[in-house]
Amino acid sequence: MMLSLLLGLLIFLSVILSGMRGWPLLWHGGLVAAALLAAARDAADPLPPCLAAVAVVAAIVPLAWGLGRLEDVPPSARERAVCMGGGLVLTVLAVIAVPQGMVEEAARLDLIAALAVILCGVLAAAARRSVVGQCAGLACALDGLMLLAGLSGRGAMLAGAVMLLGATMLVAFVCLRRLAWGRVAE
Amino acid sequence: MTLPFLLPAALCWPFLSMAVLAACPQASARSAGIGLSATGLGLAVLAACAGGGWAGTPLMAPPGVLRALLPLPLLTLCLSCVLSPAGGTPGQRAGGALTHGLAGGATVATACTDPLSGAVAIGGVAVLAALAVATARGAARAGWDLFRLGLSGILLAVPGAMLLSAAPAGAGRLDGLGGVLLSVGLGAVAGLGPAAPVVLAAEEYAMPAALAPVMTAVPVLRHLAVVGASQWDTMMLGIATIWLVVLPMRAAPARRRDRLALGMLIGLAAVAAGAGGRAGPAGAVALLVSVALLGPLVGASGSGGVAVRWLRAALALRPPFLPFGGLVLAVLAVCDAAPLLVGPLLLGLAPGCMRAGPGADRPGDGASAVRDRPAWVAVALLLAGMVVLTVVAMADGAGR
Repeated sequence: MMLSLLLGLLIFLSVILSGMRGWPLLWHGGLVAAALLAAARDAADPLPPCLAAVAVVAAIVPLAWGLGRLEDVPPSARERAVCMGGGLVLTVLAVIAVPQGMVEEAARLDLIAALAVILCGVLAAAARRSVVGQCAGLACALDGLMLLAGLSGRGAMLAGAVMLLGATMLVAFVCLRRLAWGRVAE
Repeated sequence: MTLPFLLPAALCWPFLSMAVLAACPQASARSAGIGLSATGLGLAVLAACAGGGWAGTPLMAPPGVLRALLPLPLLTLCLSCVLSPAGGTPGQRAGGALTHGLAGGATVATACTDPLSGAVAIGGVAVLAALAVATARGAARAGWDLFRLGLSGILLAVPGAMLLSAAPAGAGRLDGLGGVLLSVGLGAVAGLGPAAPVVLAAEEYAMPAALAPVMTAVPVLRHLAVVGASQWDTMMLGIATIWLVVLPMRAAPARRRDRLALGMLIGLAAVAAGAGGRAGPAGAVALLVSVALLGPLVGASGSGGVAVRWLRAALALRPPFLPFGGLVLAVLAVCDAAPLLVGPLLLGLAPGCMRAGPGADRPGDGASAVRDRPAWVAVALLLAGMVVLTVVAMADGAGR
């Protein structure tokens, strides 16, 4: 019940907040970590969800701090409309695409939530013009990938997702600092 | 006979050689790189011939004719090591070491049996290539764009592969969505469709990034060729790629035309892989062999011996050579799938066929003799590949 509530809230938050830095990014990461910890309580092997939650927190906090130091062009009305409208459509698509009865009901909700979070994040990374917003969108999508890896309990996928999170942090701190060095908001 | 240690040795060797090269003194880096990459290529060829897998992992030699794809990243690596100029800077040595890691990652991704682990491994290769661009001086924007594209592609491909395994075909109202996500995601990583200009632009940078299109295209098309018998989405991505690279080809300078020709060969390979059937995978393999040979030549300077110029000419879609064989097989596969697609395909190919030959003989530079030997071998291999294709086609025709 708790997990379902958290996943529903996460989908809602992903649709309206993907591609935003600062507190929205922290809320998103925190909710993903909370959902993973809630899933670990019921899981037969609680280690993968716990590891995924730790990796999400360890990556999102420095990323949110780093992105918060750079000046971001706020999303225009068009970008906001594309992110929210497209996110809503993609969420409906995810619900239709994962068929009932193929996998157990709890796993179906996990898959829908992870799919919706990933698709909303990728959409935000494609729709936002500012590099900071693009990086925040990618971070949201990576949260979704960690959720998928943690809930499915696949070790190799978790390792790959952690590697991608590390690479995102590296590229963000190398590239974005160079791209927006003259625009540090302090 | 299956040797259980051959595939693990072939997959681990490039990473080992990366470590050795990183610790190698500057003076002997080039010769060490050539020796290590040639050994890796030999191991990969043996592993592909022997078949079998690595117990306890999802790694196995690809099935059927796709087995020939396993050594291709290492073939590109070996050729790029041979063509690299002697006496490079420390930065070039670091780039060379990173190229070995990139080739190793591409070989591992090619050997993955399921699309999910394959997508994760391809993501590692794409991210490594984007990192190489991102850390180059003055290339932060290009590196970020490449990284964003590669990561977005992987983030689409992974849930696509999950959806494919969770909901087999015919199970739901959108049962094809998993395959579409997988094709579009992997296509974005390999520079297929709208992603082609961004990925091909990476070739303007140092060596690891210059080979990125080859290193990602080989594993991506290996997985897309296996997913289904006839993949319309992969075929459409291939046709879009051909359109996007052929349109600017006529007005492009010679070096950029080489890069566009590489993109066109990758697009054609995607068309063949998507068409499936009996001819499709063979055509995709023939075209990817050409891509693997052309990749290192694109980054190299225009100078070189007669053989290097012959090799460049042989990698165009001319009748006696292997790319032409791949084209014929691709058209055969497409005819099997949808005769209507032959029109746009041929329209896209016409400008490519008008490329110039080896060019007038120019006095070669000092390194041309060194570059000539592998180039002659490669031209002979391209001819031999065409002969093999013809023999196989004739044998198939006699068998029917």
